[in-house]
Amino acid sequence: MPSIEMPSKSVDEQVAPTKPRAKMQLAKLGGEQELSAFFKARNCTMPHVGLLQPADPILNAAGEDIRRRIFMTADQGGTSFCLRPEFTIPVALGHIEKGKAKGRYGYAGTVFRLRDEEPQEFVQVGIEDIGAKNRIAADTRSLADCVETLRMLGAKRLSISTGDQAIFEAVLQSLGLPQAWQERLGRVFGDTKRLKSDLDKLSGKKGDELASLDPKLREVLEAGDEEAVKKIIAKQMKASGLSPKTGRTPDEITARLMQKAELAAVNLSADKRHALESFLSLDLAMDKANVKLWALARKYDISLGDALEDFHKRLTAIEKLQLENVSIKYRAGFGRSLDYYTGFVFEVRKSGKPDSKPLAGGGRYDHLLNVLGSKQDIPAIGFSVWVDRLSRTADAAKKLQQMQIQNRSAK
Amino acid sequence: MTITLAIPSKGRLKEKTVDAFTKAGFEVKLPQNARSYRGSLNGPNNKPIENVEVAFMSASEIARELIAGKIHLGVTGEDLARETIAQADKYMSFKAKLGFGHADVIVAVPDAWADVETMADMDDVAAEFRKIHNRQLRIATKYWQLTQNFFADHGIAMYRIVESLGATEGAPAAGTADVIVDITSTGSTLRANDLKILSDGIILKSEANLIQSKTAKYTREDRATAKALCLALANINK
Repeated sequence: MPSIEMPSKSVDEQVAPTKPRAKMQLAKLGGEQELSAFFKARNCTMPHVGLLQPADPILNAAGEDIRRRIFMTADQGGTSFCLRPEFTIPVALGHIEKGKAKGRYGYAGTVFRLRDEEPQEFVQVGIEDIGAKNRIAADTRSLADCVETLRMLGAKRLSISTGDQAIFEAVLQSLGLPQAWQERLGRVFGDTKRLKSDLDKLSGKKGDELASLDPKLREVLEAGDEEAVKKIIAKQMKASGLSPKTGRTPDEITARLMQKAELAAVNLSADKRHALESFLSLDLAMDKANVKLWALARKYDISLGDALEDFHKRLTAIEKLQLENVSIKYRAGFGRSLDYYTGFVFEVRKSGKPDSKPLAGGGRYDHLLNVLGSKQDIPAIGFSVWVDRLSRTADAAKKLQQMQIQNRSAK
Repeated sequence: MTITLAIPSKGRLKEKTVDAFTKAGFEVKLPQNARSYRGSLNGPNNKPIENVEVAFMSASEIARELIAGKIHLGVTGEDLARETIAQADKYMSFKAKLGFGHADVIVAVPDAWADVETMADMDDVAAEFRKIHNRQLRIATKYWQLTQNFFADHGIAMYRIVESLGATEGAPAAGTADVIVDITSTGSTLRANDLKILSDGIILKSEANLIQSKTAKYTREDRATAKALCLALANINK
């Protein structure tokens, strides 16, 4: 188990915020009353999330790379903290600590990120919906709440991109790709450049990947003698003073080596690559995506099974919302590269500004609670609005930002 | 105006730097008395170059002062310069490789990891590691900046850095880390510790460089002097 320090008292059960700091934040958001009523109407409690957060859970969940984008500090004992870089992880930790089956959490407050062209201190508003069993309903509700939040902050015409990692994974599985490749491609999903480079590697001619192996090891490996491979590796580990208790074990290394040897001879066929690329290039209005996905599945003789059925149900539910002044697209290659995102994702932009930074982003993160230490699988989805980006489009939010600056300089 | 040229204040790095300037036709005049850290530079005509002042500092101080723009030129290791700040090229330009102080910053794993040869393998292993061990893969290094950039370039985020301020090569056997990022010149320390460098795991081939600050202030004359010095040093190894 990673050492995860649970922040004490992270979830406040009151519907209305009682902490003075939260009250101040809300006052800045064009009225505590309005926001509090907004969350209450959506069955959200407002947990208290401290400005100073233990850094370990965040680094464990998001990886070392996020260290470059957050403000870190340490106490005298060397324990690392960071200025709250977002709400999702602290809210999820609070949920685990409470041990409740499900909960919906609303938040609004300042977050801190190292950013090049944008302010490093800005306000985020969002809702995390944790533990809801009906994923389709929760996905739909999250998207609807996100649009409503943007409306409350004065946004007008919106354009939404959606994606779904489950569909991509179904395509990989249905194409019969080896498990190791499925996992590798699943990890780079959402990163077009890296995905292409991985596909090139899988379909191109490979050099002898086992060339640098010790000849004796290679011999038993190619003979498929797993026990002999394991023995050689265990011996080498012992000779090097590596304890199998502190890191990778001979079993792990052997399993991956055998898999590597097996895959060394296999190439991604041109047909399968073509199928994958046709799928990934889909970028169209969401209400047309269903038919198109179905046609593609027929053409390449792949079965998308439950993933497509869920996609269809979600699409129908979203259509029923009849969101006004909103256009929704489906982009097959759209996903988030953090490994705890698992399914439906979305990003909202101002209409007609496809290259601008998103005003809001959301997505399903069914693996996050496990990563944070939950023994049970807990499904979850959430969204967050970047209020500072809205301020350039909406007067209300602009006023808000000004109030904040005045507040700060008045102190 | 004068420009400040910083030279490592002690050891082999200092000697080799003075030699390099000599080869290029200059003479570094050491401080008049032992307490002083200021010297001067004679040109090929054996006369002092009036607008150059020589300062003696530690190699890491030179990197920081170049970034801050408090000195104009300095000799230090490329590894140190790039480790001191992200996007180092925004703050300084690397004008001349001086042919000494060679050290490669590398990614190394235990020999027993027979399945890991490349950074792509590392990516697979890092992802698998978290699932199996319920913690992130740990990398021991003192090169935070270089490690984070290199791993990000390879799309690897799922790892943790364990700061190591000495004997990094011993970390895997000690059980404090799984992988290391360290400098090596001959590779003998790595071999002695049963570690292997990944085939695409060379982060930086570093050596001593003459570096010019982009943040320091220059008059037109300063700029011309700096340019001439850089050019002369760049030519010695050609």
